[in-house]
Amino acid sequence: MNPDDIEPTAEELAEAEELARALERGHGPAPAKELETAALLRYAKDRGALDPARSQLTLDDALSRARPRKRTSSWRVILIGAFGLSAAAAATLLALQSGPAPEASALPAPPRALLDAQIRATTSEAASLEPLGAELKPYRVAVYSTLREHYGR
Amino acid sequence: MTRVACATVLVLVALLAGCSATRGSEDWVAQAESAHHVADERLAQGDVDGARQVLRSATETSVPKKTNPEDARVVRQDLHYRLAALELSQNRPDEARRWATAGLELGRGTDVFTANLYIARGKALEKQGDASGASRDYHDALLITEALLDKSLGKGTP
Repeated sequence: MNPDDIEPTAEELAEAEELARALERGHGPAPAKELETAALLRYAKDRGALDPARSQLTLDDALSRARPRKRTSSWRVILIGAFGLSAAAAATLLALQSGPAPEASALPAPPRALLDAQIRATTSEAASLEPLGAELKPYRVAVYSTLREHYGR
Repeated sequence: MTRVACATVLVLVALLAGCSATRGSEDWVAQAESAHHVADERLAQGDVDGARQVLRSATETSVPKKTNPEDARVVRQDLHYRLAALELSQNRPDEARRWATAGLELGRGTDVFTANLYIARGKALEKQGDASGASRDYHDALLITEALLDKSLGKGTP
C-alpha cells in the first residue's frame, strides 16, 4: 500500500486482512518470511506469552475447523475381506478334497454256504446261477452295511 | 469380534467340507445298494428290462473321489456280476460275457466278487461252446474260493 494513497484498493484490503489473520494464528496464506518477522517482533515484545482469551479463541477456532476422522471400513474393505474369506474357504475345501482316500473297508468274511455255492457253480452240471445268487444276497447286505458304516463315520 | 466371526465361518466350512467328502461315498454306496433292491423288485414283477436299466444306470455313476479304490471295485464288480447273471438268465451269453469281462477289467481281488465274475464269464463261455475258456475261468474262480476257504479255516495267515 502506498502511504500517499488516500483509499486502499479492495485487493490491498484483502491482503491486509489475510496477513492479519495469519499473524493471529502464526500460519496461513501470508508469506512465510513476513510471518517469521512478525513472530520475532511479537516474541521480543512479550516473550511468546499468550493472552488467555486469545488462546481460547485459537482453540475454539481450531476445534471448529477440525473434521472427524474418516471411517476406513468402506465397501472396498468389505469386498477385499469377503474375497479373502472365500479364497481361504476354497483352499480349505481343496485341501480336504485332495487328501488321501480312506482305508479300504474290512469286509465281512464270506459264509461257508456262499463259498460252497461258488464251487458248485463252477461245474457244468450247474445250469443256472440262481443258487449262487440266493447265497450271495445275505452276504451282499452285510457287505453294504459295512461299507455304509465305513463311509458314514 | 470380526476376527472371531471369520474364524468360526472357516471352521464351519472345513467341517462341512470334511463331511461332504465322505458323504459322497456313503451316498454312492447307498445308491448302489438301492439299485440291487429295485432290480430285485422289478425282477419279481417280471420287468427284466427295468431291472437291467436300473443296474446299468448304477454302473455308470461316477465313483466319488474319497472312496477307497478297493471298496469301489467291490461295489462295481457286484453290479457287473448282477448284470452278467441277469443276461445269462435271459439266455444272452454275449451280453453276459461282456459284462463279466468289463467287471474283471476293474481289478482282481481275492474275494467273492471277483470270483463271481469268473464264474459268470465261465458260464457264458460254456453256453457259447468255448469249453477251454470256461475251464480257465472256473479254475481262476476256484483258486480264489480256495484261498477264501483257507482263510476262513485259519490256514491262510501264519
